[in-house]
Amino acid sequence: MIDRSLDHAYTHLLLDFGRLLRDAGLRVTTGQILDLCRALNSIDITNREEFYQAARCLLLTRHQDEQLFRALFVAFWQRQQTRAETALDRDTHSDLLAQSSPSSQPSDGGQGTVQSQRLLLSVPEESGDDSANKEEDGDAGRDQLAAYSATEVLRRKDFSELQSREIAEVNHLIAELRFQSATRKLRRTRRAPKGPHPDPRRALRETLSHGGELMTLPRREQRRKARPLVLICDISGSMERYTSLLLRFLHAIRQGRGSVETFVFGTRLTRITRQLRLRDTDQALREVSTEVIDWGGGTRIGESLATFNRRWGRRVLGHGALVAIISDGWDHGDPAILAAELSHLQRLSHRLIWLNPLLGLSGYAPLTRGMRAALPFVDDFMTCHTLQSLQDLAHFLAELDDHRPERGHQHTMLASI
Amino acid sequence: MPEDVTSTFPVVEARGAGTPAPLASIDQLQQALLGQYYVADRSLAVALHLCRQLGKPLLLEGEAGTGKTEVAKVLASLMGARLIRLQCYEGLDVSTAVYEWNYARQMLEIRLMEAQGRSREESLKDIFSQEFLIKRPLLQAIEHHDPVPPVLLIDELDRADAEFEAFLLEVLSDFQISIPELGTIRAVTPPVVLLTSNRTREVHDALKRRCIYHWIDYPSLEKERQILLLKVPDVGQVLARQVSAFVHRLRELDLYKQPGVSESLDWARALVLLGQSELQEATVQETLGCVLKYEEDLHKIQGATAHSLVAEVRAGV
Repeated sequence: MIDRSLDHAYTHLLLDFGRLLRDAGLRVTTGQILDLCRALNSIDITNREEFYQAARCLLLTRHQDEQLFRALFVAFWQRQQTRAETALDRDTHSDLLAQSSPSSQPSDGGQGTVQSQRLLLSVPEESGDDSANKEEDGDAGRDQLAAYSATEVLRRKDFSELQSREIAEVNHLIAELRFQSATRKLRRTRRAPKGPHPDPRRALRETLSHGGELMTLPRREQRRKARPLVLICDISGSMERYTSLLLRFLHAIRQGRGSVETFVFGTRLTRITRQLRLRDTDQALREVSTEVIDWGGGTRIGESLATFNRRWGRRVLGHGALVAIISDGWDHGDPAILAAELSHLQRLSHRLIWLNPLLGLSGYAPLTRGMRAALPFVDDFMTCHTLQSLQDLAHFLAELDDHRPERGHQHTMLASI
Repeated sequence: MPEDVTSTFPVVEARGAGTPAPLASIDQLQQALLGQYYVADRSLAVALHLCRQLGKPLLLEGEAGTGKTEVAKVLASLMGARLIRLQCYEGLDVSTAVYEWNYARQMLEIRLMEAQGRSREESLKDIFSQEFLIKRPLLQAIEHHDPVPPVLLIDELDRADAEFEAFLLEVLSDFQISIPELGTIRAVTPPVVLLTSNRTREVHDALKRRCIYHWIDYPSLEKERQILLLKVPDVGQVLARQVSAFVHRLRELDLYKQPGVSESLDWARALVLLGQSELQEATVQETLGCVLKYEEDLHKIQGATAHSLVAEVRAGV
């Protein structure tokens, strides 16, 4: 039985609320709003918490949106309450009395509707069993919205401009990044119900139990394997402002992936794969700092790459590896050596990516000798100066396909700011 | 029921199996869940109530070990309904979830009929009959003939793949299955559907919006204490308080896998079996494996940290 008074009074309010949620980025369909309208009959609408809980379970679909949802809920119904208290007595009061019929009201007739609408529009408190602190209702909405947008701003802030208290937050966000590997096709196949190739061996075996009749056609598909990833990071003086955050990124990118080899260089090359294998970030970074001795000093990119090519190249670059070099290109070594070694490295890898944090600066052009010497041998030139750019890098790495990039001294330049 | 807790919980009358409890209001539902030793938040009770009233499926998301599967079992027993469970895994498809023809038996039947020399029309009708149909959980839930609707639990939906989710979306909209040889089977009373997810991946948006959504978090200190007292009969007030305080402190630390409610319950039962009435450091060091299941976590907590936590918890009492 549909409560007719509810139809007019609340439906448009709930639709407005739905519009507000959509504007804030939460995807709420009209169907869900209508479900909430239907649900009003089943709950006690004079109970603020119950209304909030019903709205939450019907309109929210992700746990991480709850903070934003609560903020918007509080803000919306607070606004309604202030509006209601002024306008209620004049206009809606008489309307509601006219609309409500004695049969549809549970107890007091018209008075009950007005009363319940007032209570419905008042702000819900946080219930004890659900979550933590009591807050000032008026400020709660604004505070939570502010916190939500502050994180978004932080994602786009250049690492070199972070304040000390923001660094901790960014560290936390870096640790939460999730990475997926780009894959390559193997020759080996495995069972797959919807694969492209039929599986004759299995088909034959299955006919045994069915008296020689083939019931279903088993299929196979080609297996895919993660591409090895090699990261070579510059930790010399000029990169100092980015180093600690980039190291955390290097640690985070390791988690959950197959083979990731990590190296750092300043004046010499050091392999830190083993140290970064530790799950605890702080411990891993401590181990790295004891292993590496040329922190914040000069840069010799060419010589370091020469060491890599001779000592590690054959070992880690097999099977179509992705190589990412993170450096600002300020080099004290010989550009000719840099060019030669980088060209060798490019030939051995599936894709060579150069990440330059300075690309985030407006007006930056790669004019230094080192960068100019290196660019012809780079497949992708990208930036790594904000958290957003690291996320974009992660997407880029995950979506690489099997095509070899076109070489012959051309490169694609991608600056995501 | 332990006598200590009668002040907080109602007296529960013994109920025969299959006698449904009165579940008309949210309060009654919450009390009835309590009567089955399941401590539910008000918001969970609201979500369950709306699930039954609106006929929409309920998606329960949360960390492992927070009682998502348990609530389905308890709800079924409260409603006096049958619990039909579909455990999801990658590669789950129509033949394992809905129905499959029993090919082997059909082949034998055909051979027999050939030997008997029966006509083709008769044979076909017999081959594709209910006798040779293997009914899997989804079909069982739809073809349910009891007036009380069954509770369909689709467990760990995040382990199934996107194709299965699309199929599930279709089934949950109409509650009908078409079997080409038999026709369309419609549900007389649509089942009460509960889906659970451990959030190892995001469930597809379309399916989420079809459902009522509820996130189950780790319980609060007080709630965990209540759960322990309810479900572990001989635990005693002191041990319950200490165990829940200890596990609560563990969850604040940086661990790879935070202990869930099932871990607290296991630990409490283990301690009771060992004859403990309060936390002693030696026993705690020995039984930490009930609570922490990762080598790195055990290594981190055993020894000094466990020592200080036990001292802290005992002082707090």
